[in-house]
Amino acid sequence: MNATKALFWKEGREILFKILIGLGGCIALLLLRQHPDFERNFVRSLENWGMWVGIAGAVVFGMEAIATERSKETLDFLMVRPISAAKLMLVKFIAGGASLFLVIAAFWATVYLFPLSQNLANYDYYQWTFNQRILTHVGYPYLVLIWFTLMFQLYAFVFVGSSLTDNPLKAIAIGALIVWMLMIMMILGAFKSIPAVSFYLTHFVDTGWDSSGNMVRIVREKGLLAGRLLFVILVMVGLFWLSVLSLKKWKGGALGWWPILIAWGVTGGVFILILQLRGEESFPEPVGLWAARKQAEKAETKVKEISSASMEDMDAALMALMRKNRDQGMMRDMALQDDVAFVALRKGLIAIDISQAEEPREIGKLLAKHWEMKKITLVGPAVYISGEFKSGNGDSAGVAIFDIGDPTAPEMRGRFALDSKGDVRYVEYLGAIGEVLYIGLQRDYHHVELIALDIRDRWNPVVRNKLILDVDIGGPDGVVKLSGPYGSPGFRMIIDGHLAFVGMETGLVIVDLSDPDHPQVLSKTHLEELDHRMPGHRRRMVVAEGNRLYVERYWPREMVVLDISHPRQPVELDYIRGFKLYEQDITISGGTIYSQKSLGIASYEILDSERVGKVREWRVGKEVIKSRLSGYYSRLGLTIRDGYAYSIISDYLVIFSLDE
Amino acid sequence: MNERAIFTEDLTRKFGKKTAVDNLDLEVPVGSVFGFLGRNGAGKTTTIRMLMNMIEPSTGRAEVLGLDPQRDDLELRQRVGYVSDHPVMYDWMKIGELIWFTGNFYPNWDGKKVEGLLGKFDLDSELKVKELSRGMNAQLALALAMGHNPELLILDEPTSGLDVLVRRDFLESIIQVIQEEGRTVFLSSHLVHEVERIADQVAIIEGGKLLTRGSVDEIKERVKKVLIRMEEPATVPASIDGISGTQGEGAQQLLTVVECSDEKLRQLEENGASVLEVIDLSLEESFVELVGARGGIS
Repeated sequence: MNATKALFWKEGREILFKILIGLGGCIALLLLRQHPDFERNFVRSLENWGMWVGIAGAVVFGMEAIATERSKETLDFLMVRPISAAKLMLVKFIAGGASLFLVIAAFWATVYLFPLSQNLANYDYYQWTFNQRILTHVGYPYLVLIWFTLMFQLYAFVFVGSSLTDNPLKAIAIGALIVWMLMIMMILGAFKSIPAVSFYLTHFVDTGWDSSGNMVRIVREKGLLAGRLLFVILVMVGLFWLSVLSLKKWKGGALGWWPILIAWGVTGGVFILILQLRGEESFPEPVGLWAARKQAEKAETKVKEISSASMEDMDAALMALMRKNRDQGMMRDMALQDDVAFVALRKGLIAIDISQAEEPREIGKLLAKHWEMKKITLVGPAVYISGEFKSGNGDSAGVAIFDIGDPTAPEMRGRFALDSKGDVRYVEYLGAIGEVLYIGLQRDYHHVELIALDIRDRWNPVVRNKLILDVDIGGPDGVVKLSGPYGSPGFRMIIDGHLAFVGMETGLVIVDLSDPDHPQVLSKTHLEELDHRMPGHRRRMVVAEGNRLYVERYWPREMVVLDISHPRQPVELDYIRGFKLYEQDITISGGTIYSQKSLGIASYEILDSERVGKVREWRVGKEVIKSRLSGYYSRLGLTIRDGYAYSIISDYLVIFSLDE
Repeated sequence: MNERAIFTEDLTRKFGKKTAVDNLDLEVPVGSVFGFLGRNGAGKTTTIRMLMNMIEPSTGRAEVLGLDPQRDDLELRQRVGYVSDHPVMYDWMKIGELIWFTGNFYPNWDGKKVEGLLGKFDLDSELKVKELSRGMNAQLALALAMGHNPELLILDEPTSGLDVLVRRDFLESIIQVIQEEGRTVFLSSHLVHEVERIADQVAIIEGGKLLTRGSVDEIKERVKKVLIRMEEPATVPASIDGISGTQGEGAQQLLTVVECSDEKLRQLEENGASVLEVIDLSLEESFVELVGARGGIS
């Protein structure tokens, strides 16, 4: 025990000045942060600061452990003492690790003790908000723990390098080489195709400092946190023993520069070779691509004209272009019937023949004056499109009704006006069961309104009943339940069978529609959002298949899996690991969830309630990407049918073949 | 009780294609002061590093105090004191701190003894290691190696790099220690005359191979200078084994004879030489002749 104590004393004395430099650096950083320009940069790149502080600490404390003792020839002094190599290394390992912990803890302490300045330009506000959310929801102890567990691994790699060499630079070179090799495996996608591995690597190795909120997930889920700690401990034990063996093996000498340089060269060569063999990452091209209004050429020309302009000009021009396109009627939603896709334009309806997926073609079109269309649903020969009717007497929400008996000549046959009470009311859901058309509306901040229309007379719907859903379902106090009516709709809704599922921030409401005259609220289920103060969208996308319901969670970003075998008592089973959602629309077909992404679609095979199997991705061709509009314009209406996925991206109907 | 402090059998260490120690057989009796002689690069330090398990042998085996250096290295280090050829210690520590630090490794650390040695060497415990001269550094290393009362003291070229006066002082220190303690000392050096002063057993190594071993007197007996007169001017017949050198021409010649014996003197006389005088050599002269015969020293 005395020997251990003495060794700690020695290591402490030797390492003290480095710790003091680290702490001094934190104080200097605090002073620098008083300058507004520096603080702005600091807020923008807080994660990078954390990363570099950690890397610097890991490298500095790891590289000198043995290499410096060797280079100064003091290692022999220790090696002839009656102390085992393992104990000697353990003391060094712990001393360096504890120092690393101190520096990381000190850095984050400065961030918590002296909060990030809010005196920022608008441009930085999002980053400030995001960082603040992380800091608030993760908390200081966990944040330090997460960064430490990551950087401790890097430290251990450098420590192993140090045990092999007589030069701290060689130690860095070896440690970096090992990390580089691991990174190559990740870059080359060795783990990407295995979502489960990818998921656990994200949560065990990464910080999870991302917009998906993985860091929050690590902190909140004890199993993950324990798994991370166990993983780190295993890595530590493995690397520690590797360093002990290295010391024993290399006690009489040290690794020279040549083997290290050769290893770097070989690794780099293999990496380049594999990259060349792999080629660029490619995605299946869409089988057919059809532009509703042939505006892509215009968009491309426009972007080319401003390509040398500043970012601000570019954004302004792009927004102008968007408005211009809107005036001409952009695609909004889509529904398929037989071989025809009916697309709701902003100002009308078009019919597209999709019998030849490779060559879809427009066969009919109808523009509806004074309307701004949004959502579409098909019932027999009728098309119902929700939207706003803009008349001289003010705007009102409603449903336009089209006869598509002859798809080449659609005809407007009627409309149904919603009682708007002076406000424009947003229709979130439009869908039919049999002879009943359901309209899901946002009534006010606390209520969802579900209107059932009798459409036995297709062209003259009659209100059958109205269901007002009180969505006060046990969320935290003071939270606005719905973000409307002037914001984006506060809920998403689907109807599956005779059940309607309404997803909103506070949770899920299930409504039984089996008796249209007496719809019944079966259950209100609270779904925890780990961050209740997240601004922006609060609605949840929902898909159902069989007795499983998949509901979007925003923070952390994932799909909650519910068992709805008993709709009165849905049970939250788990969340789908490795599932990321940043999409406009999702659908499910044959046990696979398809999501609409900005540049294409993705599919997630659900193996069971918890695991994602194969993940596939398709992307649009260059003509769409070049239009520069795609990122802004992925739309609703994603439909999977007969091995094809039909989606709207930018101003295109894009059809992907789902075949392998 | 083991009577051998050190024992090696076919001990070999190779560095790539170079054989630093070649099938070395060595036996160091307990209680002896053993001089391990050899030129620079002869393999002395490599041998010692194998004995201390600081490197592993390629083949062969070693025993130190009856222990296997590789298997029992912790116990071995507990019982052995070691001073390397250029002891490097933590130069930021004060002497007192270094002694405290080192003492913590040994349960039987004798602090008073080390203090006594410091006094004998006139070393101030408040001095920092980086402030010490080379001689003081070597003396401090010796004191640290003695602090746990080792049964065996291994000194690897302890006077290397020291000037003549400091070397003499340091050797005096060793002699005092040896006289007081009566422990086994394994002293490696290329400075033969120094070893001769204190060693009672000697081994000579050259090119990694053991040339000879024995008491100092035995080694001295092994090589003689023989003054002869030839009846007629002639060269000494090559058939006489062991003549490693000849000085002088003509009737009177001085021969160096390795493993000199009455038989060899008789052979000289049978070949027409009259033996005028058999001259004893110092250990250093014997060392030079032995190593020269093996390694070609001129």
